[in-house]
Amino acid sequence: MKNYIHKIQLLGALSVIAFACEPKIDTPAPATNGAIDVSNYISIGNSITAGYADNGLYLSGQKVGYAVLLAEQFKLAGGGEFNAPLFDANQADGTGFLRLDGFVNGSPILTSVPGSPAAIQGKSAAAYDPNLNPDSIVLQPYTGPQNHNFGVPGIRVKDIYTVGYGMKNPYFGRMLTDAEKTIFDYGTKVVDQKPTFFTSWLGNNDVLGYSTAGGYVDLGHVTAASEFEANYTLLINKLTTKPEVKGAMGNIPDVTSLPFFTTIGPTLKTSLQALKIPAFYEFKFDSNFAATVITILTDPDPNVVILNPAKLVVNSVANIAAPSVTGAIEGKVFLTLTFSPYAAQMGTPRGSAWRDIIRKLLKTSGLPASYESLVWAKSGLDTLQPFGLSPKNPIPDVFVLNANESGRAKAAVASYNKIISKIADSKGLAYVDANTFLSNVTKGSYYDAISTNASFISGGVFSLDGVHLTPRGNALAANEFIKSINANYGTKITVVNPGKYPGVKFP
Amino acid sequence: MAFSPKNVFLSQNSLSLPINSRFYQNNQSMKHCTILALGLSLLSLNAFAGGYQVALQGQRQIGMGHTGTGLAYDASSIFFNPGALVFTKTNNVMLGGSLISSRIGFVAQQETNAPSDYSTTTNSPLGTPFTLYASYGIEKIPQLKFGLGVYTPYGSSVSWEDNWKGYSILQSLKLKSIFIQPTVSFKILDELSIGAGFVYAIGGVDLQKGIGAIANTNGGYASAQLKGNANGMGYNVGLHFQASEAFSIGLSYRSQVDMKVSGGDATFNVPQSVIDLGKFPSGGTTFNATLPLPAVANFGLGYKANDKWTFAFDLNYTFWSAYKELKFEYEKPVNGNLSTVSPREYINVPTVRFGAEYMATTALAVRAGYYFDKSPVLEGYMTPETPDANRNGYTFGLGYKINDKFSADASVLFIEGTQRTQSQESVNAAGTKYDVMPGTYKLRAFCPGLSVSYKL
Repeated sequence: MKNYIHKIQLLGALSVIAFACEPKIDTPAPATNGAIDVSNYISIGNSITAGYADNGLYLSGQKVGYAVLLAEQFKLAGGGEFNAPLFDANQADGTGFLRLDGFVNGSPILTSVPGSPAAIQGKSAAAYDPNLNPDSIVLQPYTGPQNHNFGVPGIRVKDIYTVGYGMKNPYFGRMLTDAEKTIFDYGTKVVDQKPTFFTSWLGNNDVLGYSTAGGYVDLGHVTAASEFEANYTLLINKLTTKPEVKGAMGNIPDVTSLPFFTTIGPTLKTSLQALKIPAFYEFKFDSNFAATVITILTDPDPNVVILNPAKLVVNSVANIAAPSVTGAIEGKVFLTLTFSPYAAQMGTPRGSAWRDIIRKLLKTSGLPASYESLVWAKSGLDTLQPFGLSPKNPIPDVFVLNANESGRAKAAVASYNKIISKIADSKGLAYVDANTFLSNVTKGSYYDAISTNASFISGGVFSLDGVHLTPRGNALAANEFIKSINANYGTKITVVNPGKYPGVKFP
Repeated sequence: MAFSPKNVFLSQNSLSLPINSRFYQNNQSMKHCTILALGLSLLSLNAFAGGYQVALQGQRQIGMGHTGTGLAYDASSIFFNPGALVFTKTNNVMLGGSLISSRIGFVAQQETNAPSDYSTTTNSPLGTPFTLYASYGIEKIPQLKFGLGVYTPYGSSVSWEDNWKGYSILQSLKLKSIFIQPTVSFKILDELSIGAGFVYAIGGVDLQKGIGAIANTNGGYASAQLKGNANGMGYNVGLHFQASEAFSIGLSYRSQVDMKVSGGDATFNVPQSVIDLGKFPSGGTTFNATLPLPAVANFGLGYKANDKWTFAFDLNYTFWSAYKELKFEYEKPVNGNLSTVSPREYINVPTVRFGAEYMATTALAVRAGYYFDKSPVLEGYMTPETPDANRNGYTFGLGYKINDKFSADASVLFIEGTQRTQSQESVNAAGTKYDVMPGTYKLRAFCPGLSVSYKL
């Protein structure tokens, strides 16, 4: 016993020693200096703001969206409660997501985790809108504490003043009561929250839908700059009616920063160049597939085919965008990540890309599945020809963002960013240059001795869908907002520690 | 492969891309996937670094600012100056040890618009350097004395908080070295002696670090561990000049010892899928490395003013510039590399030491000392193992003669490192972004020690 006491005394003495040794360095206290009032922070934005990741909105992603991380830093500087509209524990898988299950021959195996049945109320009665609600679902209403995160996947600036938008977009719908769904537009709803401070990162979807659909306009449109400007200006004007309300606006990253567009192309380019193949064929759809199909199917002239040779685009292999010596992606032709299952079929007599797309287009156009054989018969396709390398078996539109289309997407991003910058400037709001930030990511960056880049899966910034951010990417994005806010308002909001947040998780 | 085409299609929702199941598996001939460039500089081991030259080699000397090159006091001259050994009056066996309780505080770098409130402190385990010295001379041949020293001149034990901000550089490090030094000391003249010892060093390294670029599915990160035994050889020579009864001068030189780790074990706690990619050797690999423990040249003065007072001055000059880089070579490629190199670029530095002893009674000695230890580490190279800075050392000691045979010595050393900031610019200039953390560091250490001496 005595011995025991002795040991305790010794431990006590050692802990005193340890205490005496504690070196003291002052750490800065986060402060707003009164320049901004973050007591009621509201975040405005799309899927990225919602914490959407790995091709789905699910609980663990919602918890680490950049807006949530930002709010945690605001809290240290006088910020109030910030609630994201989280799925509850029974709805944790949300709308479903992709999971990395390993690699086969160096290629990733991505498994689709189904959504939580408890999250989904049923099928939407509203008209199908491919841009907003591809699965035509209605989500269960959010019933937790008052929501502060108005990140709505799929929303465009084009949509923010659409009355009844909650009927069309289930992610907005779940933030509203049934009565509100039909009468509210998004802009009014967020202004009603009376934010003292807001962040707004909108506009990606006004061009991204077009881009991810390979420029096929049935599946995604580019919002006209005038409409973009009118809607966004109105929203910011209303938010800042009281001059003491401050905020930050994020601009839009160029498609070239997203692994969705930069993963397949460079490897394909190397392979095609090694085989001395100078160009490949792409077939552009008419803007209304359903109408075209019906017209052609009913045309008695047997020479009229869907695959109109006039719609062929010849893409130069040399123009495929690939990383330059500086690591930046340079080039004009992009292949989508969704082309990956078919990329290896190039040059072989395969038609599975076409089969899949015909079935999908019939379904989304509301045409009967039985039309498939008719479409094949009238298609003019010859899938015994080498895929992609024969004008008779070209690559479908949706997988290729060709030079014209990528030019259009880039021009749209540039014009939107000009508008966003102009609005931010006129209101004295912080302007977050997300475009430059992500373009720097593509060139390779690092923090805390951990390297990051825009590579698919390994880069650490982009999640498994190649568009949305990982938790680590969200932390880096939150820090971009913080830097701009501090620079603009002279505040001392402290940064998030990105090393605490993972990139893609490896099994 | 179970490839279901209906899922593998672009959904219309711009930001909803149901690239569902297994969408890469069909690609046999063309791999689009990504080669994992995880960008890890696997090893940035700053071995036995500046601050971890353990200046705790004799309790009396510690009490006097760790001076001792110019004094012939007891068997600890085997370390301080082999030349002085023959001048020590008795044959001793001395056993001593200290506890090192050291803490390094860290505050993340402060960019103008990106201040950080991140701070942490190491919770390093106690270091336990020890010394054993034995001297033996025959009365008939007073100009010759033999000795054996076993001591720990370099070593370190650093452990950062779990998943601290710099975990991808270093989580923890344990370095040990034990020098075994048989020594002979010989009087050339009545007032001049020389001595030499052969050093055989054994030791070991155990380094752990996280790999922040690879998250696992349990919410943690991959990690690596390097563990191995090392050994090396060197020598320690000295010259002692007893200018007068009161005044003595010493010179000594401890050679560089290259500690070679041969066939150490590198193991990786990495998700299976990453091992499947061939980025990390399954089951780990072995590594070789050489860690230089630099040479030290010493000049010392001793002045015994009267029966009560003794004063000492030491100047040490450590040839840290031997530590240019740290290279690890692996048997199997690690993340595509057979070796990793991290720059260190240490510089040679002096340390000045002052000490005094006062005999309060014939049995009780009271001691105090001070030293200034200049850092060999340049800004931009301040690794988490040794985010070194100039240090002030304050020492106190007591000696007590228990009886004719036994005496005991105790000391305390308090080290106050200078607060030092490593800027991002210096890191960029040094090209060490994967080896160091920018930010502000400060070290404090408290080292109590005790030794017992037995007169043969």
